[in-house]
Amino acid sequence: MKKSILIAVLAVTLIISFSLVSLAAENWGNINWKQFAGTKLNVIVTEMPVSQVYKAKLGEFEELTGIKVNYQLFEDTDRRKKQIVDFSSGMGEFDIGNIGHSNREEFASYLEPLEKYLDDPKLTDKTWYNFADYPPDVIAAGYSKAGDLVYIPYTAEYYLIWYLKDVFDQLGLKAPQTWDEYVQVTKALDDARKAGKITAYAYIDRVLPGASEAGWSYSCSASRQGLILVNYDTMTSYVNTPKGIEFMDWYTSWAKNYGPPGSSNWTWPDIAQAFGQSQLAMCIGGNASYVTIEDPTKSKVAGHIGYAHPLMKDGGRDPLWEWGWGMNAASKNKEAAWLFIEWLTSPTLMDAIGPEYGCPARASTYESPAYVKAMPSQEFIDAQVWMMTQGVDPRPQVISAKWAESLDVISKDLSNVIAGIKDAKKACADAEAALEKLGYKAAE
Amino acid sequence: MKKLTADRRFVHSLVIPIAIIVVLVGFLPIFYSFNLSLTDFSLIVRSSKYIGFANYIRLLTDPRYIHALVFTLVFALVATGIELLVGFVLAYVLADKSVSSRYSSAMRTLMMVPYIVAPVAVSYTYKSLIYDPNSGYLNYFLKLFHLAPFIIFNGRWNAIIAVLVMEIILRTPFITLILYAGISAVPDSILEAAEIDGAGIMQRIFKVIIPFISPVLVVAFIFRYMDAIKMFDEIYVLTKGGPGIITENVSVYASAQSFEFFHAAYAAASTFIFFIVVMIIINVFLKVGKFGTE
Repeated sequence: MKKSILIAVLAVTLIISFSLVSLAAENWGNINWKQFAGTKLNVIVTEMPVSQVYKAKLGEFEELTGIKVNYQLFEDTDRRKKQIVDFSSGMGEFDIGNIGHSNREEFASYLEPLEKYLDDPKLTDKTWYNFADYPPDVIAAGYSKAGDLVYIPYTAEYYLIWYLKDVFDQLGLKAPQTWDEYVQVTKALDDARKAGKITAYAYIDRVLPGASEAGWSYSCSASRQGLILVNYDTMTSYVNTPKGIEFMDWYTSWAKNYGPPGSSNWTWPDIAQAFGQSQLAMCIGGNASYVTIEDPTKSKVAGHIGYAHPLMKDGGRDPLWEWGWGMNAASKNKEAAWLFIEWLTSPTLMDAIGPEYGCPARASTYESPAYVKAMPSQEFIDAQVWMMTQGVDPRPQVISAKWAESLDVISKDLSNVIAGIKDAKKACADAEAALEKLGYKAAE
Repeated sequence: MKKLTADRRFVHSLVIPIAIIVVLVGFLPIFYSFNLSLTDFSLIVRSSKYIGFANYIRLLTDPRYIHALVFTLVFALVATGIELLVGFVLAYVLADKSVSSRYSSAMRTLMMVPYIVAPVAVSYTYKSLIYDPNSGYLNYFLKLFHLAPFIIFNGRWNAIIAVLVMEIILRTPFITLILYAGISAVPDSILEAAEIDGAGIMQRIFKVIIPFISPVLVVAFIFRYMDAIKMFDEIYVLTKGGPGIITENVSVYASAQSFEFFHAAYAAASTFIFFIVVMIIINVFLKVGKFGTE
């Protein structure tokens, strides 16, 4: 009797063990993950919340594959410098790095095209990997202008309008749904502050000079209003056109009229911090930043934030921002590096970690109950999905190797308007003159 | 003779490794950078070719670079001049025999605090805790006295003044310490003799102390000036060179050209022109200060 019980227990244990093993294999597709065991990969990554989420999971990859990962985090500007120096030198110190969408063309010629790894059954179980899960606009951004898939996205980031619900409730305002409402709500917030009903300033956007500061925000804002500032294919500047001047005037007027005094040298973290301290009633911020502003240890307004998609006019759309994983073309461990990229961007991992960073690149994650539960509100998810499906331009003009220099030039003159040194007309004329020196021609 | 050779060998064995390191990390990069500056090399373009001095010619006709060059040299001159003046006054007071040595020592230690903190940290402190119109102390006090707030990006001068004031507060202690050592070394007998001869305080300063410590003054000025023209963190954090390009110096310009726009060769040429201009200026300072000629 005892012997039969023992055999039964053993049998059940074995069945459960085999089931778990097969379940694990199923979760990670049908390839041999151990084929490059013993390899060491060097990865260069921007220090940001999503990178920490990945970092916490690296042990699981090492256990699954036997590949050792040296995961090095740097502040983003340093990451970009180190990465371009290494990738362009052909030294191959780093096998993999994160690539920002706007920097894609800077890196494109040094990145390994990834289609062949995707199509290799030894390396990728295509059924499990489900490449089609990427929304078309999101994956389109991973293709270089030369047509190669140079990175696989892991975040899909959009600007959202953040607003303080309590302030809106107090004033009887609703999140704007049209451009006109957007203008009216901003004005109403400003009037309320001036009348002493609220202390928060109405609105802010970035005006600090620099391509990654005001330059990027300004071009995104222009894109939302259907204006292309610079066409990099034809090297044409539209900065000094009537619409360009009108836009410069609008952007700087809003910053001066509705933003806190002295916010002209604020970086993005400064703005997020001010919003978190309820100094701002409304601003345009990235969806990925919800991790910080909804953290009650860092933000006084956590749990009291409303979200809406940014408003567009004249057929405008927002440039998509995303982070993707790209492989150094000079890497000496390309196949192992692909396994790592495949794992990082797999549906299995993204489902598991999507709820922790909020803006996964795969569509299926947005339907996962765990994700829905973890997000701050349904309003947040709805705004994201609206942007993902209707609000972004996956191949915006701004994605060019020349974007940084041109937007830096424009942002410099923008800050001159903010400081009262020039008016919008003079600033646009001067910015265009500077662009002409860089080889751009003025639009007729 | 044999001993001398052994001594020489010993000396060489100490010097040669250092000389090799200096060549490897000092001279080779300079030659490499110069070579780079003669090409059209960009970090985001795979091929490059020699273009002679085209980068240099372009730079000398680039108004943004010329502005950065002039701003760097003039700003450093003004900052160093003010620091020298303030530093001298402070050093004179601290070295005065009537001031308690305990008080003098405590003051010297306290003055070093801003100097020993990393410039980037001090810059963030100034940006958020002093200059910020909403949470900064400066504007808090201005408001108390019903004065208009100080906003960095307001007009042409505010950003320059903001950087200058921070730089002076941050760096004057260095000058003070050097000059304190110099003034303390002036023999009491000379000062007493001047006093007996009827020299007032200004005469003692201009006729006795300054001539006596002039080599120290020149060294302090040159060290500080060389440091000021390299300034990066303060401008990068506080203004990013703005508004417009008003506070953009050569370091900020070259950094943007190299690591934001990836024009590595152009950036290398910009630093070489700067290097030559600085060498000329330092030479002039040394000659004017008659340093090392007597």
